[in-house]
Amino acid sequence: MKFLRKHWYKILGVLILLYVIPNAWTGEVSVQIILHETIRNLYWHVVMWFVMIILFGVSVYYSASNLSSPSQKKDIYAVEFAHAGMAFGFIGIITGMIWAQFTWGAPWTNDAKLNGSAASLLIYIAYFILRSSIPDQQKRVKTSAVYNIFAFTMLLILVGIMPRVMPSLHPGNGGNPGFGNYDDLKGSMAIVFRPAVIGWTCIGIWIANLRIRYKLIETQKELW
Amino acid sequence: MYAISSVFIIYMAVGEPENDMIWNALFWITLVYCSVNSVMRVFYYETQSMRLYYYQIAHPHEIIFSKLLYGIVFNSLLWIVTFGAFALFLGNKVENFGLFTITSLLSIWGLSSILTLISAIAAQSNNAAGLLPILAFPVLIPLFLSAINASTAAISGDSILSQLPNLMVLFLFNMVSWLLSYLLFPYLWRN
Repeated sequence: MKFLRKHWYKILGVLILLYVIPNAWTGEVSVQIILHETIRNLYWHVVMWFVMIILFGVSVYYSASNLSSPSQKKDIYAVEFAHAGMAFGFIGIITGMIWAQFTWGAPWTNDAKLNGSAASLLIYIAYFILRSSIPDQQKRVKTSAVYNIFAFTMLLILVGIMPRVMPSLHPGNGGNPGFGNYDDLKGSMAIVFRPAVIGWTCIGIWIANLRIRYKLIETQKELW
Repeated sequence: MYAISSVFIIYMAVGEPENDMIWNALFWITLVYCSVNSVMRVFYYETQSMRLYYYQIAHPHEIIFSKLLYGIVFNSLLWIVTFGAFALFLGNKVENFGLFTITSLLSIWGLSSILTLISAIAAQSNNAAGLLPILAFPVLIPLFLSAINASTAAISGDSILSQLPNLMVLFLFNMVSWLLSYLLFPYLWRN
């Protein structure tokens, strides 16, 4: 793949994060009741979930193309993007727990979105377990691709539809004001938030890229 | 048999539960346990030669839909048996029976459709029985969330209209799992 050898997105990612991180700590934020300065966690917690979904989406894209024309290379792509997505998912949960500790008073509450996020990580843990329990390589490629597509569709229902139906403590659900309603967000916070998503996505692709190249070299060694 | 014996164990352990929530929880635990057991045998007890025979005589879509239909019919019967046993031993706590029936039938159908596809996936591995719960439960969590919310409302006697969003989610789960079975099963079957 030609894309693996490109450098521009790594530079872009680093530059954007060099802009985002200082702004996330010291930039102007809209200080609200209860939230106070913890609203800065928006730049970390929310961004991590965005990036996780994007990376899982890429993983599913490779799984889907694996069904029509299976290859070991695409399989490695799918797995490593899922790995990178998992990493961001875990950071998302941890930052979310820190945030919840300060705003809701407990790191874990019985909330639709929290259950959803726990389920989404469990789904991908199950995906890795499935892969490790199928010895035949060609079978593994197809079966895990099918499960990946199935799981991602369920994940989309989980994060896309369930929180709108269930009551939740999250902003924008169950009568809580959404962050979009805070006027300040549209200006000074959006110019940090949106680049942050792009920047962390670039970093996520970079992480996946390094692991893919490592795995490709490893499988080539096996073939020799 | 599973259903009745587990209901009887519950009856001996707790007698008649006073709390509606506990009744609901016990009902769903029994139902899930029984339906996982029933769906597991759909693909698990097939031999290699039977599979080859089916492969030659039928289209994959025919096979997955016959299995889906079997799972749905069987689990609906299972639901009737379980609910009958619950009403007999533990007392009938349900106030809005119509809502309860719709909720549990929709979720039982979704449950068995999802489990059928997952058991087809798990059958590819060398440890199908152990893998099925691991693969299925994270996917089923959202289904349970909706099902338990709606059935709790049914027990306390809310109207169907108040639970429409939950019912929509359950319906959506059915649709999505059928669609995905239709699209994805042929790839599994060719292995």
